[in-house]
Order: sequence, then C-alpha cells, then structure tokens
Amino acid sequence: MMYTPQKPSSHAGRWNKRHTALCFFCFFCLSCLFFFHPLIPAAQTSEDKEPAIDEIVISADNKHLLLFATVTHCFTDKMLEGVRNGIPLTFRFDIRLNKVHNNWFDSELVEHKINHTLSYNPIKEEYQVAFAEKDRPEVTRSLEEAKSMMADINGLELYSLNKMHIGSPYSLEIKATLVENTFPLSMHSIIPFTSLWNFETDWRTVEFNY
Amino acid sequence: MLTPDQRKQKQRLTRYVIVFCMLLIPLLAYTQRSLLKGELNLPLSSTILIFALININGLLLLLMLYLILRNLVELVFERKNSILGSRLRVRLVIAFVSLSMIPTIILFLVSLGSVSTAMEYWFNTNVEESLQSSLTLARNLFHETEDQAITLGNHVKQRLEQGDIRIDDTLKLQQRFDTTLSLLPLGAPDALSLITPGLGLIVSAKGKQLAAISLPEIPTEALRKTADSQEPEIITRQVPVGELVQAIMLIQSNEPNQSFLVTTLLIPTEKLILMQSVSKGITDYKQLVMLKAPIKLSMIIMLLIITLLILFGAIWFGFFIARSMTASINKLAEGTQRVANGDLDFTIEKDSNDEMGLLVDSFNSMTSDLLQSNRELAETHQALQQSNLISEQRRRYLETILKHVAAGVIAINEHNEVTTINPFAANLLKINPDLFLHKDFHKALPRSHVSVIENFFHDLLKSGKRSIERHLNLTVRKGETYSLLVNITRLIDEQGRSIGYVIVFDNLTKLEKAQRLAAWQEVARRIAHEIKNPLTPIQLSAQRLRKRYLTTIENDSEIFEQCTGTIISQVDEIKRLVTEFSDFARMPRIKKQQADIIAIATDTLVLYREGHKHISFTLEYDNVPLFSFDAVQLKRVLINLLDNAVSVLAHGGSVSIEIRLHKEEKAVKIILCDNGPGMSDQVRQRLFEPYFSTRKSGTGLGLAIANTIITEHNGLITVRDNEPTGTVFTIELPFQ
Repeated sequence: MMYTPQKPSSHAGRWNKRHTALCFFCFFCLSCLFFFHPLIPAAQTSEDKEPAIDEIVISADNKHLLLFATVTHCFTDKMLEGVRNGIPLTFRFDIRLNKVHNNWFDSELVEHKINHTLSYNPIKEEYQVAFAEKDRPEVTRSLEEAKSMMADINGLELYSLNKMHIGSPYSLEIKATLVENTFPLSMHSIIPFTSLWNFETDWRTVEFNY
Repeated sequence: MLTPDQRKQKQRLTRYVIVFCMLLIPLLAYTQRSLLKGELNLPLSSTILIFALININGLLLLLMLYLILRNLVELVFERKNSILGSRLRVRLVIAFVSLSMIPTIILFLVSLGSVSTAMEYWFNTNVEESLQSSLTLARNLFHETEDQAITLGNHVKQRLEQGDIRIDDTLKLQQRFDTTLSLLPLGAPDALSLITPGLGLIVSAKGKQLAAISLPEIPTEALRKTADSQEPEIITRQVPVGELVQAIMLIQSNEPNQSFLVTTLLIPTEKLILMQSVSKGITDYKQLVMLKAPIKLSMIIMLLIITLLILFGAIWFGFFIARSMTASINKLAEGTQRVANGDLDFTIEKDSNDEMGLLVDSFNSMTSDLLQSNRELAETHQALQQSNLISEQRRRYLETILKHVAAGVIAINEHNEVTTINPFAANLLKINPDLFLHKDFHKALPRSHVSVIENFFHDLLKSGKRSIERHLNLTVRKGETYSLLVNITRLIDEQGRSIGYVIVFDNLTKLEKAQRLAAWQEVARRIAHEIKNPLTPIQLSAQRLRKRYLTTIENDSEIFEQCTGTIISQVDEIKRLVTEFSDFARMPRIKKQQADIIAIATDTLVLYREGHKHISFTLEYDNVPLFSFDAVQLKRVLINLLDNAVSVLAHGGSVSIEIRLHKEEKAVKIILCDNGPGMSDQVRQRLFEPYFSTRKSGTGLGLAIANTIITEHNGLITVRDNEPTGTVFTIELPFQ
C-alpha cells in the first residue's frame, strides 16, 4: 500500500514559509530600533539657545584675506564641568571659500579645518587654549577669557589676495562643531555610541565682492 | 511544505547557527576586553574595531533572538492549531525556560544590586574628599612655590632698587646674584635673571639644580603684562629636570630702559610627577563620577546581554530537547494514525538507542507482523475467492445442466427435505418448487406420492445397491398421466455417510407412445399386406361366380345371390379395413402451406351442421392470419374429432370450436369441446393408441392418425374433461 501523506485541512495548519517571512519582517522592524543611534540633540546652553556663528567679519591685510568670527551659546555647564575634570573641549571650525559663478556651480577655492582645544590644569588652576592657527597655546586663569579665546577666530588667514580677482563675487561658508570627545579611561569601549555632549551649528554663508 | 528531510536539514542548520553565535560572542567579548586593556596591537584603530565588534555582537544577539523568537512563535502557532506534539513541546519548553529563567533573573537582580552598591561605594564622599584634599595640597604646594618666587623676587628686587649697583653693571650684578644664590641655599631661588628688553638678557645666575639647564626665554607678552600691571607675573615653563616657576617683576629704576627681574624656582620632576599624579587622580575620579550613570548603564547592558544569552540558550536548549523528545513521539503518533488508516507498509526511523528507540523498534516489528498477516490474509482471501468462484461456476454449470437436462431431478437430503427440483421435474409434475423446497417430503407431498417414494427407498435399501430403477405410471393431474422411468440413487459422501437421495426420472410416455405407434404401424402394414393379397382373388371369384351362375341357377338362386353378395360386400369391408390399416401404416408426409385455419374449420362445420341438426355447432376464433400447415391433414383431424363428438351426442348437445392465436407462445390453439358424457381415466390414457375404440364399430385408428398428423406438425394434441361434462380436445400447432 502506498502511503499518501495527509495534507492539512487548512493552509494555516502548519508553520510555513509565509509565517517565517512575517515573523522575520516584524522582528526586522523592531530590531531596526536597536541600530538607530540615539540622536542626542544639540547641546542646550544654559540660556537654552542654539549655538550659532555670529559677528562674521571678512577683512584683509596686505597679503591675505582675513576672517573674524565668534561662536555664541556654545558652552554648557556640563561641558565646563568636564573641562574642569580634565576632559578637554575641542571646537572644529569648517571654513570654505568659494568663487561664485553666476551661471554655473561655485568653485571651492580653499577649505580650512581649524581646531581650538580648551583644557584645564587643576594644580595651576589655569585654562589653556590651543589654536591650530597659532604656534603657542594661550594660558589664562580666567574662565571667561578662555571661553572667549575658544569661541573666537581672530584674523585667520583665509586666502592669498594675489589669487583673488577684484570685483568678483565670493562666498564664505563657516560651521562650528564640537568634536566628539573620546571618553577618558577607554570608556568609549564600554559606552559605545554616546557622547557626553556635542553641538553643531548650521552652515553660515556670507557672500561678498572683493 | 517542506519534506521531512528538508525540515531536518533546516533544523540542523539553525542549530549550527545558534551554536556558532554562542561561541562567537564570548570570543568577541574576549577580544574586546583585550583591546580595552591594550593587550592587543591591531592595525585598525581600536575604537573602530571595538565599535565593529560591538555591532557584530549586537547582530549576533539579534540573530539568536530572532531564531529563538521564531521558534517560540512557531510553537505558539502550532499549539493554537493543535499540531501533533505541540502540547508536549510547549510543556517542555516552559519547564526549561522556567528552570533557567528563575535563577537567571535572580542572579541578574542580585548582580544589578551588587553593581549599584559597588558603584555607590566607589563614589562615596570620603574618597572624593580625600582626593580633593590631595589636590588642594598639591595646589598649595604650587602656589607656595609661586609665592616663594614672588617673595624671593621681591626681596632681590628691593635690594636691587635700594642697592648701590647699577643695572647696567652686569659684572657686579652677576656677583650679587651668585652670592644671593649661594648665601641662601635653603630658601634661595634656583635662578635669578635680570632682563632688559631693549638690551636683551643682562645677568643670569643659576643654582645647582639648573646649572646644566639653559633657561627658556621669557615671552615678551609676559614682560608686557608685568610692565602694564606693575604686579609680579608668574609663568611656568617645562624643563627636563622639572617645571620652572618664574616670577617676573619690574625693577623700578631711573634707567631709561625697563628691567625685569625673573626669579626662578624649580619644582623637581619627582615632585612634579607626584603633583601631576594627584591631579590626574582627582580628575580621573571626577570624570568617573561624571560617567557614573553611563558606566552603570553599560554594565547593566552587559549583564542584560549575558542574561539574555543564558536565557536564549536555555530556551533554545529547551526547544532542542523538546523537539528531540517529541520527534520520536510524533513519529509514533503519526505511525499509529497511519496504521489506523490501513497503511502498514512503513517503518519509523530510530533516533536513539534508549527506551524511545526500544518503543520505536517494538512498533516497527508490530507493523511488519501486521503487514505480513494482512498479506497472508489477503492471499488466503484471494484463494478463497478464487475457489468460491470456481465453486460458483461449477454450481452454475450444474444448475444449467439440471435446468436443461431432459430428465427430472429431485434431491432429498438425509433429513428427508427436498433440496433440489429441477425445472423439467417441476414442469412435468406441474408443481411450484418453492412450495416443496427445504420441506420434508412427507409433509409436502400427497400421501399417495409419499408412499410411492417410501416404497422406492425401501426397495433401494433392501436391494443393498447404490441405485435402483423402477417404472412408474404417474397421474399428475386429472387427465394427465405419464409413464416415467425412475432411478433412485443413494448419495454417499467421502466419509461413507448417507447424505440423501437423488431421484432421476425420464418421461417415457412419448417414447412409449411412439414405440407403440410404430409397432402398430408395422403390424398394420403387415396385416394389410397379408390380407390384401387374397382379398382380390376372393372378390373376383365371387363376382365371377355371381356373373356365371346367377342367371343359370334356378333352384336356390336367392341363396346363391345372397351368399355371393355377402362375400363381395364383406370383402369390400375387409378391403376398407385393410385400406385404413394401410393408411395408418403408411402415413403420408404432411405438406405445409400457408392456409386459413378459420376457413377450414368453417367449411368443416358447415357439413356437420347440415348433417346433425340436433347438435349445435359454434365456432369462435381470433383473427388468426394465414400460417403454414397441411390443410388436408388438418381437416382430416377436425373431421375425426367432430366424428367422435357427434358419436357421443346421439341425443343432442353442443359442440364448440375455438381457434385462438397465442403470439407469445407462437402457437395456434384449436379447442374442441363437447358436452357429452366424457370419458374415464383409463380410456383417456389409451385414447390415442391405435385400435383403441370405445365404439363397437370403430377401427380405433382415427385419433391415432389425428395424433400422428399433429405430431408431424410438431404440435400437441391433448384431452381433458369438460365442465360439467364432456371432453375437451386441445390441438396446439406452431404458428409459422
């Protein structure tokens, strides 16, 4: 006698590929949440205002185009506490100088990435600010002075004036970011995907004619 | 729908994946730990690597979670649909999960508590306070050095301002500095320098500690600040032997150029290191305090991951055990269902050598035994069917023989019950077999017949033979008597026991009649031949004598005429008889032709009506078409019958003729009835015999001839009594 396997009376009687696919889909949707890095919102300043780049001044000396700018509302109490506890703070300024073409895409002339790093010596009780654009760091015992030095770009040499055309339109784009600090004591190995704090300003664009 | 093999393969694959995950995760964790400790040197940045490892860990965990959840959902699904084995699996899985979950959760909670407590213990205020105190100490040391530098500087500055040495007298200044450094060894600065920015460094004296070190330049910014603030400015500089604390002071003098005194104190490297370690310690601690929450969270996550791993492992193990246990049970359950549905041609695969394997073996041997006996039963059944078929065929064959044999067969069993009456016997005896079958013949038959049969049995037993033969004249119904040759045989089975009797009888009536007829015909032929020959000479002689001597004899001429006349007439009579004899002996062949029976009957009756007015003759007939028969001979028959009827109705009566067409029997029946006195049984029996007559004057050949004619037509002539009186002759002719 040949045995004919009895087929289930309904298709849903047994677990089949359709059910597997459904299960996988549900799981996939749920597990996607795992891989979304918790988006830490931009750090709120003590005044609850967004960090921004203000007071952008473009001038020139004999040889170079100079930039002056300030980041405002970029310090939080937590950041400063971290600095006092030995966690250095680094601002990164992304600066691009573009030549504007009216009927074409703008061409990038130069890009600068400038770091300012603030650190604290608890024994000397003094703040040190290191500038990428300067050779020597500045030391001060005043926090306010240190904050000011951190947030300011003073006379950054952007571009050689020889290469610029008088009367031509140019644009300057500038953005400030708080570099994601590495945790001390290799804590980043244990606490992945998080930073204690960060911020990122929007791109500010200034157009000017030379 | 997966085949069992595919399903098995898939489960095996899933198992491998889970085992792989479980092995890989600890390996990755170990790698991470090594990276953390800095024990491994890898080309990639350790941050990226750790990031990747954590992601892989997470992926693997998710994969395991997916597989486990899928199994769980599948189990719930099967349980809902009451799939075979699902309930047992659910129970096993629940048991495993509970067994593993309870201690794991307890352990998790305890560990959580321990971690929290430990962290709180590590980060208590005492530790912070002591660290802070150490920092304060270090700071104070530094500040004291600063203050000392200022104090010493002020001291030297005062002496310079009040002193008698001019600023531009470098030699004397040098001597003064050297003396100052040597005179005050304990509280002396490590270096003294006098700087005039317009002229550069003027004088510098170094103590023993800084003798080999070249002092770094004082930044102009610091000199400017000092000049602006008029207050001592402290700067610190790193040197190979430690850190220099330099107090810069403006020397008030009348010189046109400003001079600055730099009093340098060295914080040796050893002390510096200690101070830095204190600083680092406190900052590290404070960072840890800041990171307390994330660290705690990460530890909890790690605990959770491990707990989940253990849980998933337990659940999966539960599934594995449940599946392996229920697989055999499922197979057995499915096997029993198959057996119930009649399928025995299969075996269940044995998965283990334990009691389950033993059960599977027993089941397999049971099904194979059942299959074997089923097969044997089927074969036996088939053989039985075959033999039944053969028996049935034989029985039918015998029945057909019995049905068509031209002899009556009646079988009686050992209980005197009639078991067989074949159709010939039933037709001959005019009985309904159903009334006699399976009944005791003593009760079913009339007493006369019972006694006949019993006599036969008695004779048989007495003779000691298996079979005897007897001749029997049997009157079936009024008017029907048959001459039967009866053969009774005793039936004996293989063991020699009597199982009844079989009575076979042949109807000799026709045969006897035919034999008799043939004998009579032969006699008639011979007699006619023997007698006819001398008749002619006798008659001729008598005629001759009459002719010769009738006119010549005078005496006794009357007697002579009478005698010769008698001789001639009697010879004529004898000739007539002989002619009839001859006719009977030499029956002419019948010549069949299409004829109208109605017309023949009508014509015949006309004659008789005219001749016998005292008898009423009626004719009734169906619409019988022309059919094939010998009209002359049949008329002769009708005349014969009518003659007989008329002869018995001397005082009047009625004679009716009916001519009926029986299409279904393909026969034409001519029924001639008279209401005469009728006849006895003995007469009836011999009615159609030649030379049998109830009349004195009859030759007795009329009905014999009529019978012969009808027989030649393949018909039948019968006689029975009429009601209330009379005789009915029925002629049955085939309708062609």
